[in-house]
Amino acid sequence: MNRKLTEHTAINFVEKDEVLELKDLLAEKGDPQPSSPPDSYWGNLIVRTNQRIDEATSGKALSINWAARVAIPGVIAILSFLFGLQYYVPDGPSTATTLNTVVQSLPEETIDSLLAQVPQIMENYTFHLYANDPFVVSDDQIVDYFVAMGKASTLLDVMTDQQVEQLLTQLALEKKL
Amino acid sequence: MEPKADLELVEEVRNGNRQAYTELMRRYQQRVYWVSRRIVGTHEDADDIVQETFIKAFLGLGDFRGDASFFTWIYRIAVNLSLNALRKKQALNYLRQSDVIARFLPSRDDPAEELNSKEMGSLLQRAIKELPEKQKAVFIMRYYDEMSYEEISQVLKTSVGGLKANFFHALRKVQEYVKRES
Repeated sequence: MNRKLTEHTAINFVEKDEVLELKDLLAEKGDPQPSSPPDSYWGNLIVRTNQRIDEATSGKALSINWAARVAIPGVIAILSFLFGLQYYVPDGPSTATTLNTVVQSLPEETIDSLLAQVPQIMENYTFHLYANDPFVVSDDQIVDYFVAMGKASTLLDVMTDQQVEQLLTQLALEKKL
Repeated sequence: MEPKADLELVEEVRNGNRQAYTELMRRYQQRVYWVSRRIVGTHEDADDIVQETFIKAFLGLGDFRGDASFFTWIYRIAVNLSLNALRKKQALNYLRQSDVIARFLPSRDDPAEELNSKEMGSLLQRAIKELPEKQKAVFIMRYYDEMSYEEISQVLKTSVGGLKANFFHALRKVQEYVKRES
């Protein structure tokens, strides 16, 4: 018990010394502090946040969610149908079974307008694509799709932590290959 | 008059008093802002994250059980959102390296990018930027906010021993970077 306490205290002393040493070093170098926002920023931040809370809890937000609930299954059904159709075309080229090909065969405006109307579609869409189901397309196909559509940055906005990590792993693998 | 305790305000918010939530935001907005700013590096990103943090906290107040303090809870949300934003940035930078994708993304000559890189100009900020995600978070909480390991442990839900190791490694790396680059 005493030994543990001594070790603990020793670590804290070393840490304190090293932190002070670093602070001194930075002061000596005249390292600048990041600039603080003006005082008016804080009051304004509360106003803006309250407005966003109002929006998030208003009927407007609820109606969008309701529209999304109706639209998402529709879009998924259309894409699944197209994907399935392509997959089961007799004597069709096997490479044409990727989602990339299917989506590219659709008019770009159609996809864009659907995505613009219901942003949540993309989130659900990526979730479905990453689901552990043998019939869904793979990660590299979804990357292909978003590259083809020029939506890479949008994709990142809607991806979860787990999906971003999967994407990074996938890209790292591709880079090695 | 004694200021109301956080938990008292939380209870009032749950009973529909929005003014009580404004008071909670006023109390913690600066700490939430600065931890986010130090993790993500830019004012614009930190500004987004502070708003997101308070919105998520408001909407999730029903899940707040009071096991940890309200501040720890909200601080955890801010750290998680900041790390998430950082990962997205990392992914975006990774994608930028790809020739195929580069043409769909803003170039490095983008004025916003230039401004951000200037904001990352401090030696310490650049050193922190080089740290792995977890070391970065622990370093910021310990070095700037001077939080105890027990508090950090509540935020990151990690053991105190692991946090000490993380901070020690981070500190060494920052020291080496500062000595090397200055």
